[in-house]
Amino acid sequence: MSLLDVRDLTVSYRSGGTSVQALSQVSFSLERGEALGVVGESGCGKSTLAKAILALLPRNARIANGAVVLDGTELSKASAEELRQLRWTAMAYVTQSAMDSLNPVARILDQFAQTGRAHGEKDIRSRAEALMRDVGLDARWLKSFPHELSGGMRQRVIIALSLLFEPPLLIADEPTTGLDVIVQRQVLDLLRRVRADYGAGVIFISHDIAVIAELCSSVAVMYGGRIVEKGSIIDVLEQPQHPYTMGLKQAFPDMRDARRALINIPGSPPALDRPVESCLFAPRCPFAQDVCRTQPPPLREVAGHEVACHFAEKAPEFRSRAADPITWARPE
Amino acid sequence: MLILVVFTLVALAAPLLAPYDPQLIHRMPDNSVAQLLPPSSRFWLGTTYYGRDVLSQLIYGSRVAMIVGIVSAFFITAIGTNVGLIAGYFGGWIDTVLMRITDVVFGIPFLPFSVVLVALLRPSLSNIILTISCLLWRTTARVIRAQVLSLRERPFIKAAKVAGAGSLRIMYVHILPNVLPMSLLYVALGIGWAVLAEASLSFLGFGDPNMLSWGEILYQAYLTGSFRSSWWVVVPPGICIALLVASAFMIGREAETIVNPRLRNP
Amino acid sequence: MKLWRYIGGRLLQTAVTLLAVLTLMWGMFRLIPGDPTTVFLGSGELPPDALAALRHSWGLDAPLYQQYLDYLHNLLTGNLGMSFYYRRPVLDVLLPMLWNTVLLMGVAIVLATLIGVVVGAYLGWKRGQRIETIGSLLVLIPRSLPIFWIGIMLLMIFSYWLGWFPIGGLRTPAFIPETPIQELPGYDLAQHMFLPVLTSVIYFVSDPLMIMRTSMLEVIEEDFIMFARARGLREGTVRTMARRNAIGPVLTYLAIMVSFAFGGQVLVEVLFSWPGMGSLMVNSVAQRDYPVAQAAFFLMAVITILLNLLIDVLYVFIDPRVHYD
Repeated sequence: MSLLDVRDLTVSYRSGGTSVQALSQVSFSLERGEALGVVGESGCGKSTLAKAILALLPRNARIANGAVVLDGTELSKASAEELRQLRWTAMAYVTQSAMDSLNPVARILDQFAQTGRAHGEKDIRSRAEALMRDVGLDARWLKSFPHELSGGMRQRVIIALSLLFEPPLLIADEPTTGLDVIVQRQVLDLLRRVRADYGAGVIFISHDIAVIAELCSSVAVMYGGRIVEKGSIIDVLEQPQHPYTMGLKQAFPDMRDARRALINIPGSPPALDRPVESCLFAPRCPFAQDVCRTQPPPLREVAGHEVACHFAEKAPEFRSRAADPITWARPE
Repeated sequence: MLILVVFTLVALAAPLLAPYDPQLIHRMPDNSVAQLLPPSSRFWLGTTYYGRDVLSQLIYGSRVAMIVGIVSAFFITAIGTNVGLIAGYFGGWIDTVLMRITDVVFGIPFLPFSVVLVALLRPSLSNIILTISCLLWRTTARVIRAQVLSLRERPFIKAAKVAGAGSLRIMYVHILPNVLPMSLLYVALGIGWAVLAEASLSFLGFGDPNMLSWGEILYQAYLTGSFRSSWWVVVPPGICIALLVASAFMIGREAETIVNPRLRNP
Repeated sequence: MKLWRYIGGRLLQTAVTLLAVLTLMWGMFRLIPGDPTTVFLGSGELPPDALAALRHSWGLDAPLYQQYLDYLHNLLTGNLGMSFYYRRPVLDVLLPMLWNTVLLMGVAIVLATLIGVVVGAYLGWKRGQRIETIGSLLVLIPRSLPIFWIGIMLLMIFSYWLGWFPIGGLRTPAFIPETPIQELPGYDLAQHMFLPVLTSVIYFVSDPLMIMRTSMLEVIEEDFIMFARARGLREGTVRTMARRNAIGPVLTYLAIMVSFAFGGQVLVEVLFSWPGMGSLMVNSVAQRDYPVAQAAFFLMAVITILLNLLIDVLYVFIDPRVHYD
């Protein structure tokens, strides 16, 4: 049995009078000890995915369809109290902007203690000190208030907090954004150790494909609230089959080929307020054909991993064309 | 909003609407004073201790309320906005001095001070307006100053400076339109405060004896003890005050939602 | 260390403000046409040279700046002058009234703030649900009613029609307890206090309530609230966390509230014949007893300013994020 099973998850937000479909039929599973990267640009639904799994969606969001199953328990059917108990003990969340995730008026140690008390642990002081050391912070910071720590330090506190109960599932949402490279390195090392030490399953969400490549064994590429490509990290990155993934790859500098021109995927992410009967990437895809504009492509298995593209078979040809910046240039 | 309009109309058309001269003392067929009559078809809201028609008093009272409310609110906002603008924009010692003055004004409890002031001068409508305006500008000033402080650093102001615009021009042509919504909010609030203040002063006996206001009606009711028995003298003026003030505050709340988008519904 | 510098700075500021207020008041009272002796002049009590002697003994013929310095000196030594009306030192007249006022006002403010905070937090938490919309509208009502009208209504209903509470005053003269409940100490006082306090609380509760509600609304949207839930904290704990973070603005408002509270206090005291500083001030102004009026007003201003200072300092302990500049 997988650690986490997400099936056909569909989430929409209500804002003003309009309804925005943030996630459409997202499905994947995560095994123990596996690190899955979720990559995509801002607004593609990555954070919504994290919050949906943890049942932390804001009040104006609705799970329209689908299910989340954690270690055999279907979360969408769990009671509020069951969910509460599962939170942090079975699944932990490292947030996107840890800057503001700590209670500003309470000392760090108190926040650890509070978390412990909520789950029946009375004395977690020694554990907190050990965790602080693990993330590279001096234990004396436990006595401070959050605003006395720098952003990077606060991020590490959040990570330390997340490991308090050694949860089998850890969702990290852009945990290294806004951190300098040295701290970034430390965080990544820490996450790697966590996987090794007690086999946590990690979902690592980022827009930075390089970071994902470092840490994860599998990756899912998201666009417009859907998964457009999914597979092992090596497969997807070495031989991307979806034009978007190809574009993403070309947009990042490659150390081995410093002279390669970087491309910029033209256009902007889709607005998700209207249901569409087409491939969401079609407006920006250099290889789009008529069928792309009239039928949404299903996620299917092609040549070793899954992709949602009508022309996945032509991937090798697309790949070589994608390497050329001219392909991506748009007539203005 | 609607209520405010209604009151304005009533105030303006008072002489036409009121069935009787509010000061006229009515007499019964047997020539005794028509004291404290409960509401009837002749006197829709009954009569006061002195035999005057309550409804007419109420209608004429709306004039005082509207005048005091609007004029005071205007002054409060004018003074407050300007102080806030100048203090916020120039900063430095001008700011410090103006803010210290504001602090002093804040330290003075409003009603006691106005009692003293109005008693020292003659109790009259213009003095009441003066008193109210003298003190209540303080909140507006602080709020506007805070806004100006944050606006001051915005790029468009700096651009104007670079383009060589003088300080006065920047303040009034560029910044003022941006703080205007907040100012208008405080105009609305100011009306509410002023009406309440005037009613309070009148109730204490410091109202303008020549003009009849709703507070005065209540004052007379209290003085003559008629409130013990005759609810019709007490309830209507209070409700009128409440409605007017509430409508002013509600307009303020609506204005606030516009100014501060975070308060809108998600 | 920075904390002490901040407190020191605020103290200095307060002293300056106090001085300014004092000077302002003194100046105002001096501007009255005529001087205190006109009280006697009108009644034809004293012949002119006795009047002149009186003026001299009161120091009224000294140059203006001399009078000002005398005034300050007197204040510092606690000499508030003599009441014209009562023919006794002002301090004697004022002091007992002071405690009456503090009692009434203190209880009312504390109650109003407590209720306001609790209900406001509740309303903020339940944003968008029906009870919140109704509650918010309901709260606006007392804020628009003149406080003395609320008092009058309460008096009408509970004192005259129902006879549950006395009409006014501090105590019943020669009160003889008749039932065991009435024998409880403070019963008479409590009975007299009930309506005035109720009036004040009804009037004052809306502002802290609305401020707390708005503050809660903002706090709820903050990241740390979501993160608290993510950690599996109980809803009650999360709510307390929100409350703790939201209460800041209420505290700041308290400073302003005190200044308004005095105004309301004056009205309530007059209405309920409560012998406190408010009614004393109003009566003395009407009676042209200026030393008393001046002193009462001065006292109110001082209390307001000092409370402002206290709240500013306390705020630092409530919100550790506050900077000392």
